[in-house]
Amino acid sequence: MKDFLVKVVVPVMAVVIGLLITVELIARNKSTDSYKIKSEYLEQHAEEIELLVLGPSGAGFGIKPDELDKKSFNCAGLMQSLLYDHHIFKKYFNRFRSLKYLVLDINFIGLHVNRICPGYDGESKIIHYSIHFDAPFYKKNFWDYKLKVQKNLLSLRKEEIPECDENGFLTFYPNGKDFKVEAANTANYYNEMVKRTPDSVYKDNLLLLEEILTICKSRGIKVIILTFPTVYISEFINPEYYSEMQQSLSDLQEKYDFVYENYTDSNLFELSDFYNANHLNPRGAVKLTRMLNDSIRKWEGR
Amino acid sequence: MEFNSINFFLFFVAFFVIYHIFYKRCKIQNWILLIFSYLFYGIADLKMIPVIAVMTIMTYFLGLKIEDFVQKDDKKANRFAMFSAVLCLLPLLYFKYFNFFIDSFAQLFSALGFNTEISTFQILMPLGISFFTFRLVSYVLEINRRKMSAERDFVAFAAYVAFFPCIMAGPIDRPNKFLPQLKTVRKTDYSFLTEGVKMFVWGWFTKVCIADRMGEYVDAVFNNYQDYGALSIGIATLLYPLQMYADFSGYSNMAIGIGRLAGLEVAENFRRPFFAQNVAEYWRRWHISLTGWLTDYVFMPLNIKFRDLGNLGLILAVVINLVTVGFWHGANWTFGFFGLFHGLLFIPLILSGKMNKKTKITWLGGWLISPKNLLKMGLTYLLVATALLFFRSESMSAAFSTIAQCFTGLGSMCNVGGKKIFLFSLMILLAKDYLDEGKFKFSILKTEKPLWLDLQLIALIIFIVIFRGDAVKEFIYMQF
Repeated sequence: MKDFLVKVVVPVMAVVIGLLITVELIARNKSTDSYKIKSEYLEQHAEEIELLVLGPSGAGFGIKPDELDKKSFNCAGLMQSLLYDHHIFKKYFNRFRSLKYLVLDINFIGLHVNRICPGYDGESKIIHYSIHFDAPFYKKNFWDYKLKVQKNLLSLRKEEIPECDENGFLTFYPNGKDFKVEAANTANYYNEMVKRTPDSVYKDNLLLLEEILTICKSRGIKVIILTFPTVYISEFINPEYYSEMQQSLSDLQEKYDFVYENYTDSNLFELSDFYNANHLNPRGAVKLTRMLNDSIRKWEGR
Repeated sequence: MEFNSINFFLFFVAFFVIYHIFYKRCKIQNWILLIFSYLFYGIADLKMIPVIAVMTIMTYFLGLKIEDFVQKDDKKANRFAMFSAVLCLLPLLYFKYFNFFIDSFAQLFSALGFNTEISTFQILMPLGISFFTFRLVSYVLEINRRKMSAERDFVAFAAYVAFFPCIMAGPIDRPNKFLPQLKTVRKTDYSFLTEGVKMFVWGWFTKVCIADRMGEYVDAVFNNYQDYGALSIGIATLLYPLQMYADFSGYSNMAIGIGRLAGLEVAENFRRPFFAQNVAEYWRRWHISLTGWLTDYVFMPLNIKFRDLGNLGLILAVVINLVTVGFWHGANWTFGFFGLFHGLLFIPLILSGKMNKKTKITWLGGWLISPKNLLKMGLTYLLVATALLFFRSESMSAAFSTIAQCFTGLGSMCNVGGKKIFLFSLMILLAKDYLDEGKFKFSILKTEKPLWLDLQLIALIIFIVIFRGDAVKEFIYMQF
C-alpha cells in the first residue's frame, strides 16, 4: 500500500492538481470582467433600475442603456438561457423596486434550448465565476462546470471574449467576413442543438417565461419581448422551430398582454449595422435602442 | 452518481481512506463496504433500497434452507432451489417485464379481433435490478450444485449483493469466486492496486473521450434518422458498436479498477471483442460475465435437455439462450430480435462444427494481422453492427424505417462537433487492443515502472479533462 501511495497516487495527484490550479489561474486571468461588473451593478443598484435587459448576446450587443431616458441596465450575456434570465430576475426581484420595463430577447431557439442541451456551451463560456456559480443549478455540479468553464476559456482567443461598459452593454465582437456563410453555420448549429434537446426543455422554458410574465403582470412591469435583428439566418433555420416559437409567443401575448417586436430580417437595419449575421454592432445598437426609447415615450404619452 | 463525476471521486476517496484504515480487519471492512454500497445505491435510487434489502434477506435464508436440503434430499433440494431461483426472479419479472407482457397480450388479442382495454401501471424499475438479481439467482443455484456452501456471515453476503462498483451495470460476479475474498485479508500489494488505477483511468478515458463523444454523433443521427440518408446512418451504424464497447467496457474497467482498489478481484467482462473471427467468438469476448452466467444456467441445461436432437437441439439451445440475452436487456421486441439475429448467425457455425472451435489470429512478420483474419473480423463486425441497429432502435418499426431511410439517397453528413477527438481517442483504444491482442511486450499502461506509468496516467487524465464531453453522461448499460 505504501509503495502504491508513494509511487503512484501522490505523484499523479500532485501533478494533476498542480496543472488544474495553473489552468484555473490562466482561465481567471483570461476571463473578462463583464459578469463581475453585471453582478456588482445589480448588487449595488438593483433598486434604481427602471429598465432591465435580459437574454442572450443579441440583447447584450443590441441595447445600449445610455441611449435610453430611463435608468437602464443590460444584463444579457452570450447564449444566456431563459433559465439563467429567470434566475437573475428572481434573485433580485424584491429589490427591483423602480423597475418599469423588462426587455427580454427570445431568439429563434430561445425557447427550445437551455444549458442541458448537448453542445450548449454558452453560459459556461465566459460567465464570471462568482455570479455563475451563484445559480443553484450550477452549484449542483460545481466541479463539472468549473472544468467546463476552464476548458472553454482556454479554447477562446482573448478577442472573442466580450467586455461590457458600466451599463452592461457588450462592447466588442469580431467582425464577420461572409455574413451569409456565417448565418448558415449559425443556423445549422442552432438546428442541431434543438434536435438533440429533449422536448421537455421547450415546456420548461415556457413555464419559466410564464413565471416571469406573471410576476411582471402582478407588479405592473411592462414586458417587451424582442427577437433581435438578424440577417440571412431565417433562411437556414428550421422553419418548424421558428413557427413554433412565434405561435407560443402569440399565445402568451394573448394571456399576458406584453409587447412583442420581431426584427428578423427587418429592413430598418443595413448590413453595416451588424458585427455578423446575428449581432448588431454599436451603430445598429444605437438605432435599435433609440427606436425602443421612442416607443417607451409614446407609451408614456410623452 | 456516475463513476466519471467529481461527486463519485469524493465518495470514493472517503471510502478508500476509511476502508483501508481497517486493513486486516475483514469484518469491519465488510461493514464499511456494505454501508458505502447502500449509500451509493441510496443516492441513486433511495426509494428502491427496500427492494434490494428484502431480496438480500430473503435469498440469505433461502440459501441456508437449500443447504439444509442438499445435505438431506437431493430431489427436494433441486425443487427448492428452482423455487428459490424463481422467487429471486419475480421482482425482476415484475419491474422489468410486467407492462411488456400486458401490452403484448393486449396487442395479440386485438390482432385476433377481441376488444381489449387493458391499462398498464407506471412501474419504476430499481436501478441495477438485472445485475443483482442474477447474482442472487447464481447464489442459490451454486449452493444446490454444491459448488459452495451457504454464506453464514450476513454482512459479507449483503456486501456481495450490493457491491457498489458492480451494482449498477455489472460485471456479474459469481458468489463462489467473490464471497471467499470477503473472508480473507484484502490484497494491497503494489501491482494489484496499480492495476486497479490503470483500469479505472483507462475505463474513464474510453467512456468520456470515446463513448460520450461518439454518442453525440450516433444519437444525433438515430434520434433524427428521418433527416439523414445512407451516409450518416451508415456511419452511425458502424460507430455504434464501438460506442457501446467504449461505454460498457469503460464502465466494467472502472468497476474492476475500483474493486481492485478495495483489494477485491472482480470478474472480467470484455476481451477485445472486435478481434473475434466469428459471432460465436464475439460472444466469448463480449459481456463475458453475462454470457458465462447464461451459459451455465440457461444454455447448458437446455443443451442437455435437447441433446437427443443432435444439431437441431444445439441450435435450439443457442437460439433460446441468445434470445434470453436479448430480452435480458429490456422488455422490447427489438432486444428479442437482436438475440434472435445473433442466434441465427450461429447456425452455419454449428452446422460446420466451428461453434466452439478456437480461432487463431495469424500475425504476419510477428506484428501484422493477416488479410484473411482481417476479413473475418470485418465481416463479424458488420454482422454485430447490423444486429445492434435493432438493439439501438426504440421499436421494430423504427429500426426498419431507419434501414429504409438509407435507400432514400446518400443524404448529408451529420454536423456534430467532437469528431476529431473521438477519432483520435478511438485510435488509442484500437492501438491498445491491438497491442494487447498480439501480446506485444509493450502496450499502453502495460509498464509497471513507476515513472513511466505515472507519466502515462498523467497524460491520460489531462487528455480526459481537456477533451471530455460537456456533460457527465449516464452509462448505456445502467438502463438495463
